[in-house]
Amino acid sequence: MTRAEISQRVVGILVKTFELDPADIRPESRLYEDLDLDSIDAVDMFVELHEITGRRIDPEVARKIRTVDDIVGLVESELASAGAAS
Amino acid sequence: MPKFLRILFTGSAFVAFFFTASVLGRLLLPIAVHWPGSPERRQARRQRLLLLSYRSFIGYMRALGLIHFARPALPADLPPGQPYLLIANHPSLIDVLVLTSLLPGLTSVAKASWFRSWLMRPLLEYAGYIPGADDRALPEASDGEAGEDRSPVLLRMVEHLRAGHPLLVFPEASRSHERSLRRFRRGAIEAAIRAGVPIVPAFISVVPPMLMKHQAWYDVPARGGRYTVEFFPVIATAGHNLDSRALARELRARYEQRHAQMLAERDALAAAGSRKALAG
Repeated sequence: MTRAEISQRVVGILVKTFELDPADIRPESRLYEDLDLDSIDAVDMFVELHEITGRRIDPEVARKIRTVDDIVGLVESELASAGAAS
Repeated sequence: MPKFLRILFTGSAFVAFFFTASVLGRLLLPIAVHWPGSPERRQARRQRLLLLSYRSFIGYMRALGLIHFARPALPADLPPGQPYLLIANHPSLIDVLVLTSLLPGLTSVAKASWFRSWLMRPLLEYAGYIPGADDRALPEASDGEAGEDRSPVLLRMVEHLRAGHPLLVFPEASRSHERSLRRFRRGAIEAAIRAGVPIVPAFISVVPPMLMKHQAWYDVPARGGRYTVEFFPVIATAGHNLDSRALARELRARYEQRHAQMLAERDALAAAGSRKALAG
């Protein structure tokens, strides 16, 4: 998956799971402040991301996620390391 | 009633609210709580005082003709003295007062900014409200794996329910949009499931709309809003293996249906009003 495709899927997840307006979701949008997610939403989001990556996300890494771009970066590196492992 | 009078009365209700809130928080509740007596009696005094205050405020708004409200029949399957989670849609500013005036001992989750407010903090603390997520602080991420939630608000809600206190939460987390409900957060529903307490869904209807989120307080309707509260069937959680996500979705669908009906009533009333204006 290219970064653009990942980004599209991440936006798709955010729109579907949290009823957000796609127009509001920019790479620099902050999840909690700008998109108004709460911590239980973050749990749901990681469950959805698991569907793409197929890997369990390290809580240490999850904790550092702040923006939409961070999620895309995380999925990208997870996919890359999954590819390297297989 | 002329419009200027309606605005004046509405303003007086705001002043009455904040005045009563500070007297309660700084004088009456401390007395009720610290006056000698067994913990049960102190608790009973505190609850009576709060219930009286909520009812007086709603009574004040009714007496001024700002709202119309008849007390509904409470759900028959609500076990007395047992904790429960009350959820409701959030059409207007005074919904908390409407609901707490009906059910003794009910408290809610209040905005973190209200807990920081010099005026409101003593009342909220003495009355046993739960501070909501602090939007200024970064959310505390989970300590366990990435799929496990340890948010303090969730834990506080579970603790509150397990301690035997009823709790009111608006799953929309803020007042509804002008013509649609917000998405339902599942946090409170998850808390009720974890604590094993029943969920009592209430629908608040306000026709014509007033004190909505996007509306200025002085933008008053031509006549007082008619508030009605109705209850959907109580949902037992203990012993049922419920998924809070699915349940939140199900509830939201039920609320949407009822909400559409309310919008139709509002539109019919507005149309009748403009016909009358044209004819006159």
